[in-house]
Amino acid sequence: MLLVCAILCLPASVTAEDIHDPALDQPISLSLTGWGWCFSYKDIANVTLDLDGTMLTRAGGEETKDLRLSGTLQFNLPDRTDNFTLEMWGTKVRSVFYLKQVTGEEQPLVEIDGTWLEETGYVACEGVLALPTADFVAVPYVLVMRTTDAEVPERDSGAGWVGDWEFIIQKGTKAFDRVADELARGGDAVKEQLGGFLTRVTVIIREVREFGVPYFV
Amino acid sequence: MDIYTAMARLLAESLAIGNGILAYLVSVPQNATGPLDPNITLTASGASLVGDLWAAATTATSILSSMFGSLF
Repeated sequence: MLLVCAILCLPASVTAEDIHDPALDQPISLSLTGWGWCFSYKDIANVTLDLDGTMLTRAGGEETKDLRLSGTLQFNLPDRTDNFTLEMWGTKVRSVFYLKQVTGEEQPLVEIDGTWLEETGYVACEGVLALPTADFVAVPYVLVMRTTDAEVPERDSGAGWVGDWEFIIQKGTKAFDRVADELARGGDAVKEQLGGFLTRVTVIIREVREFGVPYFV
Repeated sequence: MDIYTAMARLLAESLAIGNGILAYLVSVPQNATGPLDPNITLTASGASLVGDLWAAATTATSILSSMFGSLF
């Protein structure tokens, strides 16, 4: 009965204009770079993500914005490049956001989440990409990316619960950015150590999983 | 040295030490493609560690099973 009432109370149709204020929509362009790793490869890859689209501001709630982005992700290893075409939807609430691939047949499953500091347009995020294969075993990629042409903005603390969280997010993002700068300075030596570490840990997990078949197939 | 440089160095050095320890457990040939490559094998120490991890998992499952048997 409640379900019937709920259905009857729904408006006849809900359009994008009912949810979003078209006057506040803004075109956006994201260009992120970083590192990635995949089970199929031993080495750490350079990753480039380019997305273009629109940021839709919700009517009555300027802090919540929906994202409609499309573009490409490149996973570059010295001897090969994996290219993915992405169509991603998501939401940004103040300084945090997530994006998810609009899935379809033969599309990679992609999820990205992170921080987006609008004062300077700085974005830092991590993501997972799973590529379905013919035998239905998804090949996972893990990604860490950030904008390189924008600085992390400064913020003050002490502006209430939300303000303090925004301050914590800014400081955490700044720490991530500075540590990433230092690690990037290490270049190939750090990438080689990281790739070797992840490969060896994964092999140990692979071997432990062998005991657990058929739960872990 | 600021805190960010210290964090990065700590992370990089921990990674190098961890990778060095894991090299005693897992043998990765130079031309290995990745973790799914069957040419990557465990050393005797690695096989022993995997056995210990599985024994720990089995014991943990047994304890959990006893808890469920007692509670429900």
